[in-house]
Amino acid sequence: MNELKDALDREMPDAPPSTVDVDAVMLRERRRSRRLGTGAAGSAAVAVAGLVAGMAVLVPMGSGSSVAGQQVSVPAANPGPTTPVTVPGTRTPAGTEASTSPTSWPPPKCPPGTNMEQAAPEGQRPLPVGRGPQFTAALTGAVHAAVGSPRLADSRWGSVDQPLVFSGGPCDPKYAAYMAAAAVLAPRPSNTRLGDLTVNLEWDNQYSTDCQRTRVTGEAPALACVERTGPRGEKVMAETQRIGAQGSPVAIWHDITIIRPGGTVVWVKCGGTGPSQPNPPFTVEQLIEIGLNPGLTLS
Amino acid sequence: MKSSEEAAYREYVTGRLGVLRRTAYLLCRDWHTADDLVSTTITKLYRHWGRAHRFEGLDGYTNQILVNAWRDELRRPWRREWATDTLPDVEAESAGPALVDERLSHLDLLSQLSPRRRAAVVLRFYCDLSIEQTATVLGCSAGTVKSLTARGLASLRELTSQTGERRS
Repeated sequence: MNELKDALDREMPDAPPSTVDVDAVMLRERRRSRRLGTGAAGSAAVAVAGLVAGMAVLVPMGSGSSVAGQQVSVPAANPGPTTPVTVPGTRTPAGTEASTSPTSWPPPKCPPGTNMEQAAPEGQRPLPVGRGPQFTAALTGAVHAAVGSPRLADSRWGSVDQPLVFSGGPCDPKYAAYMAAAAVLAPRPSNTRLGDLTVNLEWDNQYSTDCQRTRVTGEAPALACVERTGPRGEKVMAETQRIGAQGSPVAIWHDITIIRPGGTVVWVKCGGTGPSQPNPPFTVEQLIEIGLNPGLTLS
Repeated sequence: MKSSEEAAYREYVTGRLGVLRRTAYLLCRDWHTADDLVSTTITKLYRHWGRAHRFEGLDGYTNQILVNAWRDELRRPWRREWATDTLPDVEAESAGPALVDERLSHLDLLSQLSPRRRAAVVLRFYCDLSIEQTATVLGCSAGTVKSLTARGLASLRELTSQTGERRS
């Protein structure tokens, strides 16, 4: 099969100058490790004190939240976070007052190099597996709380009226991304696709919530961008972008980046499908409300 | 990380950069994305270098990070889209239409494979990994790798014959 390798090498176009900066990577990681090293002693103390407090405050989260007259099941939090932190009382998206809310988001516990499917307990394969159903349920609850009960279709398998479906992710304790995506459909009997919604829950990312951030080379400026702070100290950035380069249809997308105090990134993105449905089916405020939902966690 | 370890990391990454970029390009077919994937890969490698540089199969481990980064990228395709006024791809002046068509053929055929088959073919036949090493990278069994590569190659042959028929 060296024939194939030779052919690919021969046919590969000349590579442009590399934009990979090894020195910059090393410098950034040195800074990062210094920052983490400084905080290690403090977090150990918080972990011990917080574990006790966390056991007390995590239990109420599993009781579910009332949304538009129906009971949406929000999964019980796992009382095993590494650095639980409690915050003062806040309002939930459903409008009810919560006395306390956990904002600890421990990374998944799984062997490095495996994926979520492999890390799932036996008997729960195939997807949804592991904590996927919890994420799916929590996300569906968050969407219902923010926008009512839209018709959703699984954008991968085409099954209509399904919740947002957890799609697995790399299972690396240092980095993980959990994603769910769905197409948003018009009310029955129409099956018109109004747009797409995707939600990521990630650890260890380097996203920015600064509207003045340095943009990727070639990236167009946002049509609109707002920054704010969430009720639990979350940094929120909401960008509106016009996408559709290189021949694909033009559509408007809202891109919401939320960085929680613990470092977890919630990324909510929603947009139209093209020239016939250019606008997103949900507003920026609705999407922010989805992302700020405290039930949106796998822990 | 100790300075000696950093020196070893720099030497390893610098030496492997070209291979990583080409492998990433075969997976994603875009040089900019390939560079992003390689940056992600070497960042993660740096974080694990203390343990990783002792691995016997360091290249395989690096490939595993790269493939996982690419899979992750596939799961958030909209992150990669942006509006631009200029098209980045410009046809080479020296290449005539027939030559361009011929030159792109194998790469185009490869990109038509499903992501898992493409990854299996690239790892097995471009990165020269063994079946077992490929299985480790892809997180599946050796039998699955055999199946993926066999079907991938069969698809390539089929696509090649279809392309040939269209040309004739």
